[in-house]
Amino acid sequence: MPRRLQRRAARREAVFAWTLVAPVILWLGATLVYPLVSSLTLSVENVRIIGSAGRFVGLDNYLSILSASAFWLALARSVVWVVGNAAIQTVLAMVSALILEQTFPGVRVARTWIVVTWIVPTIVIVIVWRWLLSTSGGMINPLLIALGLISQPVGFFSSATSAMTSLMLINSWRWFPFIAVMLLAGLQRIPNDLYEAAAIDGASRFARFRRITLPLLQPTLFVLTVIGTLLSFNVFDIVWLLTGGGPADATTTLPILIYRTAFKGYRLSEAAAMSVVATVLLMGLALLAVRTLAPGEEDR
Amino acid sequence: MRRSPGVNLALAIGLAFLAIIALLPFWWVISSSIKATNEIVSTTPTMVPHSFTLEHFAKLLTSSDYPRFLLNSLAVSAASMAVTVVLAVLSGYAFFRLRFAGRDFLYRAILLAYAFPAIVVLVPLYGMMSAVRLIDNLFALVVINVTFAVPFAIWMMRAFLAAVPLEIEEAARLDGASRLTILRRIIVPLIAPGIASVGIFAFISSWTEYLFASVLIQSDANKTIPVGLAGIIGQYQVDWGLMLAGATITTLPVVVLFFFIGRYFVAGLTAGAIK
Amino acid sequence: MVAVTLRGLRKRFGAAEVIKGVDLEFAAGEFSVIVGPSGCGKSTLLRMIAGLEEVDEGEVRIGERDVTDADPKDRGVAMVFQNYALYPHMSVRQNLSFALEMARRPKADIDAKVCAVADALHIGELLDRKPSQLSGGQRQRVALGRAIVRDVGVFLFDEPLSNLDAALRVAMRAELARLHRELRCTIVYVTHDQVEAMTLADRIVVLQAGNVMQVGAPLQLYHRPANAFVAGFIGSPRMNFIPVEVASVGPDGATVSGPELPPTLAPTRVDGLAPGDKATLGVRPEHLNLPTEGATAIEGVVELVERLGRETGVRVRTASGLALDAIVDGAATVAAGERLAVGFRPDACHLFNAEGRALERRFAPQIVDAPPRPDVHPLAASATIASRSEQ
Repeated sequence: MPRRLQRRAARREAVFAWTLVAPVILWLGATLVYPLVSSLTLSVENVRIIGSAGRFVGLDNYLSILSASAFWLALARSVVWVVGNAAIQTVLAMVSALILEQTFPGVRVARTWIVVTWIVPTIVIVIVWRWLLSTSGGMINPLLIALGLISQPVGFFSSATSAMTSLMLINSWRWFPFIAVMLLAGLQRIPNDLYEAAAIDGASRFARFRRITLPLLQPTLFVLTVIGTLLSFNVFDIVWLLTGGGPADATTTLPILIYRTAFKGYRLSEAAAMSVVATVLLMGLALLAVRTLAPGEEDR
Repeated sequence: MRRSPGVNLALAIGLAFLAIIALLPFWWVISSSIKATNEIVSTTPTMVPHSFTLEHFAKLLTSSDYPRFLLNSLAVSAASMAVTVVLAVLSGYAFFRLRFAGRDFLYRAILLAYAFPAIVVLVPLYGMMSAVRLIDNLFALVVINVTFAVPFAIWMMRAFLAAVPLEIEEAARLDGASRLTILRRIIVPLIAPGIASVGIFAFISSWTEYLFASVLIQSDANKTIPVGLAGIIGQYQVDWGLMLAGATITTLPVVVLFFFIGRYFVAGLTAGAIK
Repeated sequence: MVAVTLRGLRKRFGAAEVIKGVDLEFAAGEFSVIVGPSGCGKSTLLRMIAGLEEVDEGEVRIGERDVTDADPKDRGVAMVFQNYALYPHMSVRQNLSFALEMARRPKADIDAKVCAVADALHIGELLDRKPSQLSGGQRQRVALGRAIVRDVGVFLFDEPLSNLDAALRVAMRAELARLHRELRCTIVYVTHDQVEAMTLADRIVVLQAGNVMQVGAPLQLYHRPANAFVAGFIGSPRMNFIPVEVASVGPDGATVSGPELPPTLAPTRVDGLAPGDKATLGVRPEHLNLPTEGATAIEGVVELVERLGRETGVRVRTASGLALDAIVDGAATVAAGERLAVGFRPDACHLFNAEGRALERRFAPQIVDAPPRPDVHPLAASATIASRSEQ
């Protein structure tokens, strides 16, 4: 008997599936793929102002940006930014998730208000912290003085290290609840029986965390860290609105540099070249993430 | 398992710490937005307001374009949410429940969207929108917001879809339901928490989006809140009261939304994972 | 009611062939049970009939129609799933009416049908509840009702009783038998439990590793198993197998002997057997007893005693390590550690050749297939059962 039967039913399923994914493909194709290709062409021309024409200049833009220290410094700052954010967010999110997983009065409510810093628009975050950290009327300085940690009000955004640190803390504060909720989901997937069996076997709380929780959470943790890294690399608005990249370029991460080059420096093609380089770097990281996120054998 | 008092104490301290860092800043902002200006900027800040005034809110709502920004943001976010949900549900079902050639590759490719800095697409998209005359049109923002929300939204659908047993779909097929009917009458009702979660995620992402809104919208009348509020702040030199009032009102819709659907969102995210 | 015919069915999962050329006919109005150990392919076979699994080679016919290519919804079959697969977000009433809605029947018809079925299954008071509010047994009935409401030609059951507790299982078995008597429907029922098979089936198909081992009425399989696998699968506790060697063959049967077994005449046909061949003697535990006159006896040490009141299960371990299970009288006084001899009458034994094929027993009851019921649909007039399995 021929195998035509398999193809007929499978084809019906495939056709239906394709009609379902077609809208997404088209949408993302138009809004992502096309601009990406466009950026590539832009990067090998010499366009300066948006809308103006340019001619082909080969790899000139790439050469000039890769030889400029501004690019490498911005990239270095981006790395610092990403690593710092990942560290702070992971720790905060992990601690929160562990706390929120327990049962105690008020935990249900806690699981809801914990995300408030994430649901609030960035502009509000900016306003909140610009005010809190300001030297006139802000709450933080007087608080720190009252606690005896400092003697004089500190300008949080006035020095290079404190500006970068403050930004990282603020950004982490904003994003950690989202990661915490995802981690919470992962924690709840671990069956309670395992903990009970371990307790009977004599494992302390810490041992149970180290030998059961961490290993079973590891895939989720890994995926979230990678996604978090990708997303934090791209953070633009918090940095731009709080420090504008300053003081004196101290917080000019790569997205800031690209934005400034394109819209303030009117050197569009250079900005495009920088974007392409950044994309290539991120791609490598993303491929790693995607291999862990993609559907495995469990799906039909 | 009983917890030792030591652990209970640590838990309480931890929770208090979380409450302080998450909520206290907002308390400060909201409570200060009704203070008189001199109290706001005084060098000795107060936890509980000593004065009371609604002048900042009045100023914000009457002599600035804020109400307009609010409406624009609501429209854009609602539309982005609707489109994202539809796209995520349809393609999520295809990726996680159907078999077709190129499925895995396509899914990975879509997730790869996050590898690209938004900056990369910013300029070309500007050019594109300009060509189709969508500059300064709110619809352009909807397009962008959906693009950046959809990949993660599809990923979110996965756990929710996995919780629906395959047998139920098979039973429906035997009962004579077409594939579309199964999707509409069986799958969608059963993944309602997932849909709500995706919707909230998309709404919030749109509500807060700044970069594209600042570049693609030019006239004041069409600005969304993030851009408009940033503009107001720049305009009035350090008018803290106005700023705080703006922050308070901007926070309100999402907090209210969350107050009602919030626990479904969190419960949905966590319960959707339990098979 | 219609018949189901399978011809040359094959199915592969990846590199492994799970259904290896199956030919079966399920007569109209008959309760057929496919039974076999886990992994034998019985569920896959059922799903191929339903259209939920694709057929790699072969043909599925329902009634006269070739449905191999058809969508599940066009095959006219109803299925009861192991986990019931009730729609959790719909009430019982909506669950029952769903299929009829899909068929675009008028509302009045649907309501009438749903009520009738609910009454027949005693779930009338549950119509407005959701599945999560029902007990296991109630959910089972709703799953059953969902199938019955559709007026189809064939009912497929995929291990429907495995999720129920023992008492419920017995009750549901009776329920299913009654339903079959009343509806005279064609049923194809899959289970791993041979007790269900024996009690419910008009005909049993024993499947192993994708191959049909034997097809026949329950008692036929009990008295005349075609091979050692069927002999060991049907009947609980499992048949005892004693390795023997053929000493001589004759018109009365084959004389065999084993290390502890004195020469015994097994009254079977002897085609293909020669002295010196290795063979297996099979005796069911219910035929092993404390030895009487004229019985062959084997000695050993009692290893296990299980008293059930009405009977006592005894396991005896012989010197060569062979374990023999016997069912003896409930009042028998045996204790673990004792030496005990168990015996059987020669006409109770089965003989299998070196390949496991049974030699035909001369004195076992011959069970003919039940005559076709006169009120069965004329289309299913072919009540003869053809069963061939590819080697």
